[in-house]
This record gives sequence, C-alpha cells and structure tokens, in this order.
Amino acid sequence: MTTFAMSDLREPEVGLPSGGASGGPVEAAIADARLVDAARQGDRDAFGHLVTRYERRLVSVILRFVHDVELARDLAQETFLKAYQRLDQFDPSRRFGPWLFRIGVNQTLDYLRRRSRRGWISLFTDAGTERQPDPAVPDPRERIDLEQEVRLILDMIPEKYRTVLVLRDLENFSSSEIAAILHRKEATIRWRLAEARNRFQKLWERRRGAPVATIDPAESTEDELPNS
Amino acid sequence: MNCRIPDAELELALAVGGDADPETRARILRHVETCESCRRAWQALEQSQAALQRAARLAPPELPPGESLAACVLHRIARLASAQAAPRTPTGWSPLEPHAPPSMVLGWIPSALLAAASIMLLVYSAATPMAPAPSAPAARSPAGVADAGRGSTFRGVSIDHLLRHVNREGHLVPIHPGVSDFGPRATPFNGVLPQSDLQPVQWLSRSY
Repeated sequence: MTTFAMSDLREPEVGLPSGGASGGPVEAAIADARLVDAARQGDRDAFGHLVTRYERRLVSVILRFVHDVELARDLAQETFLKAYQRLDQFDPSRRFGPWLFRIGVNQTLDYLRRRSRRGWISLFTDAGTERQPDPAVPDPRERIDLEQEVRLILDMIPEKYRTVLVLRDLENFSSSEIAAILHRKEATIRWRLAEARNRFQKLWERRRGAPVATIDPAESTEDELPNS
Repeated sequence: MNCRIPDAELELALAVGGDADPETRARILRHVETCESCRRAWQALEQSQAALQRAARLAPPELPPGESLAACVLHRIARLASAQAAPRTPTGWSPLEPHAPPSMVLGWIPSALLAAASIMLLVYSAATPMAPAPSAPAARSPAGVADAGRGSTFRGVSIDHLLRHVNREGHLVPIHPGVSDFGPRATPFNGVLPQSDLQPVQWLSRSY
C-alpha cells in the first residue's frame, strides 16, 4: 500500500497544479500522480485524498458558473465520481488537476445548457441568486451590486468567451492551464481571452451609461504593436 | 477596432490583464501614450478589468471549514462498486449504472409504433365519409332522436349510439359539439337504452 506524507496531501492554494506547502507545481504533480496510481489500483483512500486536495478549488470554480452553493457541491461530487469512473482513461503522463477541472467545467456547462434549454434560467435565475443585504456586514450593498452587475454582464457573453474569462480573471488560472482544462491550443485561449475582455468592457460601459471606447484610425500612429 | 495597427484591440486586452510579456507590455504602453484612441480604449479596459478583479476578490461562498465532500464521494463509490458486484436485473441493467444500456433506450420503439398505428387508425376512421348504407335500418335509433345523423352508418353499420350521450337533463345529445342539429330536437332519456345500444357491436368482428 502506498503511503503519503501529509505535505503531499495539502489542499491546493492557487492555480494548477496544486502547490502545497511542501513545494511547487512539480512536487504537487508528483504527489497527484502517486495518488492517482494508488487509486487506479483500488485504493479508495488515495482517491479520497485527491478529493480533499481539489474539492474547495473545484467548488469555487463551479460556483462562478452556477451561483448556488448546494448545486455547486452536487456538481463537484458528480465530477469526482465521474473522474473515479474514468481513472483508467487518465493519461498518467499528464497532470491530474486540469483533467479533473475539465470534467468539472464540462459537466457544469452541460448542466447549464440543459437548464437553459428547459427555460429554467429565465424563470428562476433572478429570484434564486439575488441576495438580500446581511445586517451583520456593515454595508454589503456595493458588494452585492458589483457581484450582480458582473454576473449579469458575464451572462451576456457567449459561453466560449465567458468560460475563458471566468477561469482567467476570476479564478486566476493561467492561459496554459485553461488550455489544458478546455482542451484547446493556448493561442486559441489567448485570442478568446482578449475577445472576452473587450466584450466585457463594452457591455460594462454600456451598463454604466458611458460611451463605448473605440479606436479611431485617424488618431492612431504608425507605431507597430509587437506580436505576442 | 478601428486602429490602423492590426490586432491592436486584442493586444491591448491581453496586456491590460497582465497576459503580455514585459517587453510587449512596455511597447504597448509607449504606443498608448501617442495614440489618443488607443489610450481611451486602454483606460476603458483598465476600468472594466478593475471591476472584474474586485469581483474576483469577492470569493464566492465555498465549503465551510472542516467540511469535505470526500466522505460522500467515497460512500457513493462504494455503493456503485457493490451495485456492480451484485447480480444483475433480468434486463441486465443496474439502476446505479450511469447510462442505460441500448436495450433500455430502444425498448420504447415497439410501444411507440403501436401507439402511432392506433392514432393513424383513429384518424383514418374519423376522416372516412359516412355514407348511409341502403341496408341500414333507420329504426335503430330511439324514437324522437334527431333526424340529422340518424341512420348514419360506418361501412354499413349504424353509428347512432356512438354519436349520443345523456346530458344532465336526461336528454340524449350528440357527443360531437359541432353536430348542432341534434341539440334542439333531442328527446328526454326515458331510462331505456335503445335497442341498437344493447346489441353487440358486430362490426368489430368483421373483416374489411
């Protein structure tokens, strides 16, 4: 039976792969690989450790899409269950985190698509997600306004751009991590990210009543922007 | 984007979120200083990006401290494993399996075909014109019942009793609301069913 040091089992802090206090991404990836290998050999406790490592981050990411804690927990459970059932399909030469988050994001988006087709969003979204001010917090109105405003605008952006924007700017995944999660080339992710930011900016200004900023060709100089 | 520089809007959007390398970002900032429209676009992007970053810091509520999904997940895994180890149902399908086997998915087809055939038969029957048959006796209907439709036949068999029912006032009235001729001339129901209603429906056994 494989044994694990406690430092290997710490919860991921930021980004992927999970970096515990013991070291950086490489150490975390190695720890993941050991846990996955043990789980594939039937060690359910090892899979339990993987759940513990990733559950908070996964719930947090799913919450950015569904805005409902209980639903996010259910979807996270389903994600882990699905990951366990597909462990034999996992390529051990790759990192476990992006693979897990790919299952989670795809499942969440599938759920939202099904719900959207049934027309539930228009019926229940507003009523279910608007939060009342909490008297324990000094003045939560600004926070609630900002959350709802950002969420409203995000909902107006097409899914393929919104997903990248949420993962990059709200959940702080890197472009390469998002590429691994969404199974797309990093160049595609960067293009979608730029497009998503521009769309968000235009909608944000429109909501705020400000004129939308555009670039006038007559005012532009001949300076060449570098290709990144 | 209207700037002459190709992909200026995309480059600005990447740089404003810290997704351009330092050299690229520095060159973009130099360009923004000399280009009024790009400067406006940059400032607008900075504002919307700041809003996104504020929203990102407002972390959504997550799992309470000390609470874990691991126990639930492992319990479900154990239940799934025991269900898979248990003897299968006669159909070979286990209710805990995530996907129904093809036999379950395709099992509705015979029922659907039967239902479709029944509907087609009903529609065909309703669309067939009802011509009075010379041999159909008009006396099958009770006395006083409306003349319209009286003696109507479906392929030689009277359908009078199919067109009427007794309403709350005890009148024999047509079932189909569009057959208004029956209404005014309906007669009170005297408690005795017409002879035609008591006779076995013979046309059901006939072959066509």
